[in-house]
Amino acid sequence: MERVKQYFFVLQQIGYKEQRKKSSETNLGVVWNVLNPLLYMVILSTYYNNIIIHDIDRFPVFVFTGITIYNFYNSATKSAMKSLVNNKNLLIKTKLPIEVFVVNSIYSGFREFLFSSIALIPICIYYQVHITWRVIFVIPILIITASIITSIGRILAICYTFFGDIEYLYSVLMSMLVFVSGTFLPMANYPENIRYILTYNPIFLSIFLYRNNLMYGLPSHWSVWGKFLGWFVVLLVLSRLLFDKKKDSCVSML
Amino acid sequence: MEYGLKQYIFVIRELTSREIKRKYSRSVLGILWSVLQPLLFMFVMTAVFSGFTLNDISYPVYYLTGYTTWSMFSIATTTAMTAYEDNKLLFQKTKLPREVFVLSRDYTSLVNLGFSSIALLLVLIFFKVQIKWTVVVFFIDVIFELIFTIGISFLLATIYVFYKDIKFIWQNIIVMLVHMIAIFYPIERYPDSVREFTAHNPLFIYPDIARKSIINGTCEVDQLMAMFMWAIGALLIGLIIFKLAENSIIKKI
Repeated sequence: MERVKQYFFVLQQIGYKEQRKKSSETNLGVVWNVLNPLLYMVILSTYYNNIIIHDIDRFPVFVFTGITIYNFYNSATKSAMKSLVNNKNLLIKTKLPIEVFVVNSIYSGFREFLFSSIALIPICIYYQVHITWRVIFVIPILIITASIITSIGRILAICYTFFGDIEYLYSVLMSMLVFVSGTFLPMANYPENIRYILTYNPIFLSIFLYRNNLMYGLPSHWSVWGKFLGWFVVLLVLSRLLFDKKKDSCVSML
Repeated sequence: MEYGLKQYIFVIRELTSREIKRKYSRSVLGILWSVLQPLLFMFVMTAVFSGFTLNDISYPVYYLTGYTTWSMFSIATTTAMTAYEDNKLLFQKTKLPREVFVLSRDYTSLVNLGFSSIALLLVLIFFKVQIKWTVVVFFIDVIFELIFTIGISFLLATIYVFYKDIKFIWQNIIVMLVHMIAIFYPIERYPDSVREFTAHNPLFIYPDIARKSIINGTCEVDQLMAMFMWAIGALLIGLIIFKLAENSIIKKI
């Protein structure tokens, strides 16, 4: 119990230090967090208005929900990837389990997500989104999403210490994924064969479930939940295996 | 030491070759990646936007021409911003003319454009696009886009020395801009309200001229005029601001 408390304390300290560093580097930091999805919402809603089939009502809300979840995936996994290398000194000099650093970056990413979602409230009111009881499902959806992201983060963090290129490859992957995760393009826009592959994309699944339960109040097909939970389990197992196996050789690499 | 033009160019090429070696020797794929990546994106975008009929142009050709032209600008500006900070030592300890650092980053991006054009050429051949004499306009377009880019690069690099936020802001602007300049689908599909605005955007004009000259085999005098004006304008503004701030930069670094 004592150790858990200590880990929490360290996490807090690291988080605090990073926050300080972030906000001293950029004056905008915090403001940008809220501004970014809003800006995207405005731009994407405007420019893609004509080509989106018009049975998406409340397109701006559609875009906003997609963007916030995508940003969560994107920034959390990227900072997790670098977390071990960036905290090299602390890692080598202390007896902290290295997992702490990865989890910490996911935690900050989650906080950023929640923060940027504050804007969701006025947006929902403005566009008259009807919140149903299903919104309660958003909590487990977000928790599972966070867990999926953590697993991905662990895998990336380990890979990055051995293979620096992964940073670049991953950012290329993420820039492509924006277009195939249903962030701002609805499913109907994609051709048939793509649609099938799309339903296996974890980012898409998160966004889809999030929207269904927050915006539309619709039940989701069991296969969606199945795939979502499938990713959760598979990634958790994979990342645990990889992490435990490579932990020690990773530290020596740093 | 007096710097003649020859030495100037020599320095730029040296810096550029260092950049290129650094960039391409680090990664396993190396130069091949410059060709592969645009192709990869093209496949994804074609899949996503394949519901489009674009008169008689096939989507991959439309997309790749625009994207290759655009990415020269985006890569050049984002890498040139940190040119002074990255080369701090050289800046302080040598009497190299200050401009070369930014110019070498722009030149690197141009070289990258060259490699990506290989991918473009492959696609053009594959889709049997008929090349007319207007393809000459494409090369002129690239030159003027380079001039425009150089101007903007100087502006950004100067700002970056004093205000580091600009890097972060600019990266986000780039990501958003790409949706606003008809790279992914043609301007005809844009809502009326933004069409005028988009058509006058220089970052729309350069890829559009490229597309028109290569694919359609046409060129419009108005667009060419605009291409010229924007380039000269940006270069002037960039150089003026740079020269004015030069002393402050030297003090800061």
